[in-house]
Amino acid sequence: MQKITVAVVEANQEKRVQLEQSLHQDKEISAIEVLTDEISNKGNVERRLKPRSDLTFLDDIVARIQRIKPRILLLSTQIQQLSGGFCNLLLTLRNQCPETLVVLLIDEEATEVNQLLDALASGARGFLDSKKVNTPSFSKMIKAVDKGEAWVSRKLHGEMMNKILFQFSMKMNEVDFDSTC
Amino acid sequence: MRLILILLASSNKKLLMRWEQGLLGFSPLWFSTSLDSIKDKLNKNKPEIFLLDYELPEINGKDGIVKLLQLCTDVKVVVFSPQLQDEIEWELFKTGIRGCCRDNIKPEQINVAIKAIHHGELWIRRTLTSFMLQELVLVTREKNRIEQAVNDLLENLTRREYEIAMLVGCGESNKRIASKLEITERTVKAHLTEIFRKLHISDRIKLALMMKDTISSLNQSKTNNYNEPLFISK
Repeated sequence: MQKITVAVVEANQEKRVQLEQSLHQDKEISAIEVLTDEISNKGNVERRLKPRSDLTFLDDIVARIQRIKPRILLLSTQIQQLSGGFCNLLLTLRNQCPETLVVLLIDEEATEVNQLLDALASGARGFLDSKKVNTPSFSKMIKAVDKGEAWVSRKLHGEMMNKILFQFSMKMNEVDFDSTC
Repeated sequence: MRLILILLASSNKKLLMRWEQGLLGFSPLWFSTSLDSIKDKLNKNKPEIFLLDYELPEINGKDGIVKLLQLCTDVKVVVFSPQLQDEIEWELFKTGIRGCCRDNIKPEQINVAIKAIHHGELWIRRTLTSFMLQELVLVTREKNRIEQAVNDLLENLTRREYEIAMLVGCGESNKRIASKLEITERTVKAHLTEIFRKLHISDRIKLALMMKDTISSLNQSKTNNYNEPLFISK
């Protein structure tokens, strides 16, 4: 059986290691392989982990993801270096790494519904509360996202549908710009 | 006893009995076994939740559901069907239904589904969520394209014309616009004529619709600080 490859973007090294360890330790997810820059090229760990001055933080993340090509990317939203917000990164990843499915690690209590909807519209495949990464739903989430499913709450499904239907209704009323431009 | 107005529509008595069993504790429940009766009850009783048998004669699939939804726009429709193709089931959701269950669902599961739907959740199979994600991306892309097209057109307006267009978007009359800007109504009309010409539209309703999105985008950008990371922990 082909393993589901997973990579983690977390600026806090301690948290990243903790997350990767919990992925390795979970017996339920033996079909999952954690990819890191260290594993991809052990001889050049220091060079690979050192941020390149000629790249922005966003470009650096995208370059690393393009190199290791994970199926699923767990992306922490606590990274402060992204000046344009996460939607830019999600849109770039969607365009440049279309095979990689991004799940955001969020602080559920501090995140608004509109922010989640914007992230989904920009290419996120789901969310996981960063405080719940050790729960059994972690492996379930990885398998579901790998199959192409969205990993969001039923409540958020309702909000997503509301947004889709609202745009449909706006389209019914819209002026035909194609013929006027 | 939960006070939720629920309409059950099926010509299959066994199905109706199972629904009723699942909805034990919910009240009031109304029953319909024909299309005419459904229309009548949707109009008169204005149910909050409507359980509909997909195989009810005369419903005619998706098109029939769309017509029923037009009769009572606030009702949350839950369709009970045999196994459908993913694409067909997703098309049903696009009509505005809030849930889709197999017609052999257990009564206790019906109870859970109805409670969830009543709380604003969507009762949808996980395998269909990929369709939803795809659709969300598409409608957002389309919305951004339209916003860009509107912005390009709005750039042709003078500052005064833009000001008047925004006020039309807020639903102001010519008289109120004239008063706010301390100009005559005749001048407002002249500006509007020029605005319609530049935006290639024929009337103020289209202008109002066009500006509505611009206004809501501006309001949104005021509340979001795009220079900060999107997610900020407390």
